Amino acid sequence: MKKPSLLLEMAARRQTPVLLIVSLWVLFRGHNHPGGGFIGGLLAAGGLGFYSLTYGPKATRRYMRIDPIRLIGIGCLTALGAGLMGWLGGLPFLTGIWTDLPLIGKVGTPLLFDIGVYLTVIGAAVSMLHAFEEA
Amino acid sequence: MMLLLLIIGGLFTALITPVICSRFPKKCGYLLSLQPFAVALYLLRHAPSITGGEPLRYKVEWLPSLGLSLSFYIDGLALLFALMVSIIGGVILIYARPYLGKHPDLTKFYVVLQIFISAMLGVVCSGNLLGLFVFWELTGITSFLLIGFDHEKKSSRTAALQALLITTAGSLAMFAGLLIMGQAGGFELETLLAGDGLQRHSLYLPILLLVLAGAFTKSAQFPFHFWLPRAMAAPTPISAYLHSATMVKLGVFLLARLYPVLGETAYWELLLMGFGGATMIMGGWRSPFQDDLKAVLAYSTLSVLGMLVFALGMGGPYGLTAMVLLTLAHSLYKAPLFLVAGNLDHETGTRSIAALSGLRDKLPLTFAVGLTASVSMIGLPPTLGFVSKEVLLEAAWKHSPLAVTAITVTAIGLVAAAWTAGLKPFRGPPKPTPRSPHEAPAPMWSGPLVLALGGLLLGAAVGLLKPLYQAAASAVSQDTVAVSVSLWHGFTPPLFTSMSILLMGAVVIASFDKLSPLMKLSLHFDRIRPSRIYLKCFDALFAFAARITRMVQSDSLGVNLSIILWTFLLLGGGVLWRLGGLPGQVTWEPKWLEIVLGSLMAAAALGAVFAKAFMGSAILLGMVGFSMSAVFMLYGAVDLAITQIVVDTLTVLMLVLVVHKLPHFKNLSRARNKLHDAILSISCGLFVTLLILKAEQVDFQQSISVFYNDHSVPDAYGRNIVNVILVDFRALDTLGEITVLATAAMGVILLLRGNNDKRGGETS
Repeated sequence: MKKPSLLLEMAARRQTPVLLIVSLWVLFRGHNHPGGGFIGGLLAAGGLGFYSLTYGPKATRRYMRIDPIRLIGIGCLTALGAGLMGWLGGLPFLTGIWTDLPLIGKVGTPLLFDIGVYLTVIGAAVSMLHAFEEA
Repeated sequence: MMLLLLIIGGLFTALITPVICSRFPKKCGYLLSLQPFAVALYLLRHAPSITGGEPLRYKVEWLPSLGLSLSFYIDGLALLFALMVSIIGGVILIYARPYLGKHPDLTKFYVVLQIFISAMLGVVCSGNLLGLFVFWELTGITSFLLIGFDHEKKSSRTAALQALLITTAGSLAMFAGLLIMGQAGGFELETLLAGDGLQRHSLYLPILLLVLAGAFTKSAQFPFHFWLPRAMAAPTPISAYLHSATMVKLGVFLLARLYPVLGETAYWELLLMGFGGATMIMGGWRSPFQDDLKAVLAYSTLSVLGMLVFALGMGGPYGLTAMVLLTLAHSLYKAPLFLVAGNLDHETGTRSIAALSGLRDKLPLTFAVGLTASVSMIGLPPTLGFVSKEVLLEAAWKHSPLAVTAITVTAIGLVAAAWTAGLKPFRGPPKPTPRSPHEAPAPMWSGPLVLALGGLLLGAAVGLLKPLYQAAASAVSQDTVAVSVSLWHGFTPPLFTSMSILLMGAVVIASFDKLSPLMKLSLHFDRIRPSRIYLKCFDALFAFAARITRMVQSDSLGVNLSIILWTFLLLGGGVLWRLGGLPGQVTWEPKWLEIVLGSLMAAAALGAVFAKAFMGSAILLGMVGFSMSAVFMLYGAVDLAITQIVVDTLTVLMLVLVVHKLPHFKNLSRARNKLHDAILSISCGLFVTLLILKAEQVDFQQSISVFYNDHSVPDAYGRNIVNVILVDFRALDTLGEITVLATAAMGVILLLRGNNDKRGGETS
């Protein structure tokens, strides 16, 4: 791989973390404001995709500290686990369970479910990008 | 709760099996067997109350709106089967460790086997037809994986596929039957069994035939029997457990379970006795003349499965009691016989009857197992085999002379088969074998010996079993069955029949060498055997699939897309036509922003069509997408707008990645093709426009958005309705969607890696 342009390099290094943080913010605000796991995941994937375009898939995997393919599985299992929680409590599968936490407010399994969606989307999008890059 | 944990406990122990197997490589068989043995202990502790008429129940609502609940219901019949599954399962787990030795896939074997045990317990203890079906399918899939365990051998793979295809084809039919049955009588087993039965239901015959399709394929009845002998490609402990003692009896179990609902009609009797009878005679007489030890056992298993179906067909107190006792007796002698075959194979390196001889001194304990088990299989007193055969004959005598004849003919063949499989390898002078034999290690003879001795002792003290078999038979008929069995009945017709069976069996054994060529001759009829029909169908199906695939999925993206779009136009056009054709008067007061965005999009789209380079085309398409999101913003659909923007960004990213791999645009299409493409795309555009305009005017039922609006904040604590729908109200859809996403990603990765593999995997 030939060396990327300096502009791209600097932009990617600064932009990707910002996009990741924004994506988390979008993920967590999603329940009450526009956003959510799907959009958040796509945002994060956009940031990581940009990084990968600049530095290549290997560096991106190092940056992420986890193989995106694994994120797909983890995400699906997280969403499934969120659904099972209600079921283990004797309610129908995927029933939301909520608790009140001090300072944070209502927290429930739908949020966990959304995190699962978020992770799956990142994993799927980034690993597909990598597959294109490495093909 | 305890019950649930024990039944599906195997699924959890399967998760930690890799750890157990690597931490305790020597002892893992014993450790893993604790789970099924715990199930057995729990069941035995509750056995007195269950046989006393107080079934165990446990219920978790799964999807109550669909009548789908995970409920367990253990009465006498379920108890009998669950005990067999758990106890023999434990023995097999212990046996398999030394049998597989240093096999690299040992962990995989244990994982699948434990899932199988849980699935089996799930089927037999299930209190709901749909739950039963789910577990039933799980047994089929695990059976597939276990038959194909030696996946590097082609024969194993085809055998596994064959078993899977035949049993799942049957179970799909059965599923349809269960659905009709559930509609007619309820999905909960207790409701169904307590009802009046469906014998006079207008759909009785379809239900019966569909259910029989599932039961007959699973229990390998003629003409679907051929998958079972081929399933012997599995490791021997698997053959002993799945394909003899437990899974193949599921068909019989299902028929027994549904006996009060479907049984005791003329159709029932005719079909069960007809197919069961054909299976038992065919299996019984093919069995002794096989050369492969496992094939002998496989065909005799077929025969007994036929006998069980036959007994259910006869019905009545004696028929049902015979079915129950024979099920138990067969598991207790056939599993050990298979394991004896496993020991012989393991120690000598061959399974050929012709090569095995005089091994009683080399493997004395294995010989003891073989002897004990064959005595029960032959049906000599005081074994359980003898007792069950007596009851079966009693039932046959009460039924008809034809039934007596059929059973007698079968039993003679089975006597010879018991001789061939359990005794012959140990008699006579020793012959040289590929490996020099020693006695197998303790786990490989102790468990089988316990089972075989169980068959002997329970026969001698059959009174002890009385609560169990009476409760099981009563559970089958949903009425009290008080047949009492004892070793000595007096000089009755069954006893004389039984004696003549033994005599004739001895004659067959004595004249074995003369009969053998005769039986080989009969193989010439094999031209019309069902397995050939299966192979023909199988090949034809593949040829058909290949033709269809070539037709609808050519290598050209353009052709694929045209097919999809034309289909969309035709089907969608049909819908539009049914809704009353073209939309009526449309009122539109244009805003200036709409006009600007619209013309921008149109211009960009046109530009993309006529662009001279790929990159230009991609950027113009991106422009269409971004203008689209602006339109979404205009109408306040913020979530949609954001999604559209991000998706378009990612699309452009992907295009950038692939663009340098693609050739430059070239003018390859002929004018005719271009014209076709233009017509197709313009009509699609027009059609979608019409559809959207029409959607405004069609008055569907009350809009659901009102519901979401009202319930979003109070029930789901979220003000963003789109998100609440995604993660709460319709979370099941989302779960499905992310699964699709994951699958699609896997597909993309595999396809791209397959073409250009840099990581060194398989490329085919």
